[in-house]
Amino acid sequence: MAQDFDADVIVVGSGAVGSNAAYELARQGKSVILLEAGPSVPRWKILMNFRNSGRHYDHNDPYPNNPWAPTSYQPGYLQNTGSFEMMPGMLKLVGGTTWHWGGATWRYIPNDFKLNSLYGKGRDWPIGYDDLEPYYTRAEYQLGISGGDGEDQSGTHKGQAYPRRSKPYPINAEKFTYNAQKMHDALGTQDYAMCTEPTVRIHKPWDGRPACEGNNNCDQVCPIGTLYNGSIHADKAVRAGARLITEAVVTRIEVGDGKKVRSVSYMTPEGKETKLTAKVFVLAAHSFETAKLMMMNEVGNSSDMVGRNLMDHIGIGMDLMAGEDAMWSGRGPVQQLTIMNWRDGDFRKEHSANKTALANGNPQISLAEAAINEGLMGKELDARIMRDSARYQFVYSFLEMLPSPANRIQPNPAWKDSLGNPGIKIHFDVDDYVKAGAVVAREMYQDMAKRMGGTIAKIHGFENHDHLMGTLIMGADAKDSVVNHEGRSWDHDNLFVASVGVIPAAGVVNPTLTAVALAIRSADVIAKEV
Amino acid sequence: MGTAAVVAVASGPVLPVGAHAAGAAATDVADLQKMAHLVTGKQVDQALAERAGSAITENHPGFPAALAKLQDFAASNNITDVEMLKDAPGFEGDLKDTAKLLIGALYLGYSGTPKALSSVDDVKFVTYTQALTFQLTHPYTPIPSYSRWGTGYWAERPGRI
Repeated sequence: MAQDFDADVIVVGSGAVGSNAAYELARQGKSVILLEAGPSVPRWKILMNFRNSGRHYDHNDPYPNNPWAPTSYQPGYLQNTGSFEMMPGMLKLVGGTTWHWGGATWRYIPNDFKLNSLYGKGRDWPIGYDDLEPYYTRAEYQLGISGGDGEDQSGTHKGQAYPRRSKPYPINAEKFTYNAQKMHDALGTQDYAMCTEPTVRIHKPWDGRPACEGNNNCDQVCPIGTLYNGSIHADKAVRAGARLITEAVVTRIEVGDGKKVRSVSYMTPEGKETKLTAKVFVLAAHSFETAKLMMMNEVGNSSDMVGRNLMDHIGIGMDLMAGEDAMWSGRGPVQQLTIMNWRDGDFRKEHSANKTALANGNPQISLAEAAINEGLMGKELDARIMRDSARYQFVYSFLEMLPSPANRIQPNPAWKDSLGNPGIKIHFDVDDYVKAGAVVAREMYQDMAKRMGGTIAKIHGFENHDHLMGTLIMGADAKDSVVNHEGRSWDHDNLFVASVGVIPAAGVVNPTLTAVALAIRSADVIAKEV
Repeated sequence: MGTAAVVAVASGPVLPVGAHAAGAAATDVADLQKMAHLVTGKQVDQALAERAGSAITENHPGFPAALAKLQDFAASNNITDVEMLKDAPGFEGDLKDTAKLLIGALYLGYSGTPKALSSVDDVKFVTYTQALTFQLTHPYTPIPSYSRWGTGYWAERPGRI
């Protein structure tokens, strides 16, 4: 007797990754239910929340923080036990955490997929660059990305376009900001491998999104909808026939015959539970939340790798007072000029790679606060604010963390949300590979400051950058990984994971595009099976 | 109850006697606005001064009384602007801290102590676009989220617009 299902596919999580999977499946004629723990909130409300708050340093602040679906900054929700305080920004609403991000959408380079084979460190991917390239292209056209076709993004292929691309970027690269151009000129192309950051913050209209006006507010909320976020594909999925259910906190996963997942259950804010069945399930609820959900239900964890191998692009940064007096951070893109001197090479046998970039966020309130705390007033205060605002530049580096099972997240039953679901316990230590890489980055900072005729005001210690890879690690062996190259659970044929959490080798580039490409690839696999 | 009333009520019972003697007690909105002008050297909108006073008072209930002392200090020493105030003998300790609270609220647009990576702290909103820092810098950079400068402006050398 044929079994009835509520949908062909249920996708848990409406962020950029889950929504792209849902859209691809709906577009290919599958019935899809998309579950989201948070609400759907229109942009104007988020923007007004931002403008009417004094808490602009808290990038989660304008977004819903509900007792049943808290953001990561809800006190107690994330509890750290390691030497490093891992506190990523995490949102719960339709569209997910891409509501606030820099918009960087890099591809990994071929050597990133073979880290262990080439350099004897970390893990290899179970697939190579060529396997993923067509999906990178599809993801870039879905997200609408601006980038430089002719540029070397590896730092090792000077004068060539690299990595290989089967299609040009949908939108060309924009001009450098004034301060980026000044930095580019001061550093010089002889010694510095520089390129433009590929971005979903577009300088030409695309797919209904307007060209960027340079609001310099990507990390909080784009006021005009230029910057891509996952809600765009949640909406597209609905228009293609998917059913979106908001404020649906998935808490249970039920496994039936043949180790197949039979159902998921979600709770409403009032605690009412609803069970839904499907042929296939895709977990795309953020790399922390997905791992927590799987562990809460003892699903897909025969390897004991769920929640382990947490990798972020732990990084350092530099406050630089440039010699040039018209640099003025805060004009236009929040990120753009990128330095790839240390992205790839034999040095990866010894220390972490790094990606270093100029951050262009508006620093003025922080600079003014420091001057006021110093006791400056009147004309002296105004002069200091203007002097520092004109010169201040923030340079930051991502470092390449290696996967370690000891770096992990777990459900934390000592903290519960309003529905009784646990918080998240994190244990994270920065490894020696990263520490050695930071030494190299600091040396580069000294050289950069000298070439720019500036002075280093401060070098910041290790900070997280919200790129939470490894917790759902992909591999070639069921004994030491969570999913295979398709994103399919080794333990349950009809369970897929779509998340940056599947990435097994972190490299040094922002991982969202790779996760979307993998999700589209998984959707193609699923579409052939249901 | 409006914000002005909050300040007035909170400050009323703790006024120093000397404040009346100097004829300049910080008990009403007008005085708050004058004090905002005194500590910043700028004309500050009355409503903005009220908002700043109210926000500071939420975290520092003694602020109205402290501001009255600062006003008394200025009156007693014939201090009429911020450049005189900052170098005045005796302008230190609580007097200077009180001035910094008001300066901070007006320049930063909030009062309180930010706590990073937490949804909970004591920061109170005062203003965004009227923050005096942005009033200084907006010829060179747009106030974030308020750009009407057109795509690509960022490639040009910053200058007064």
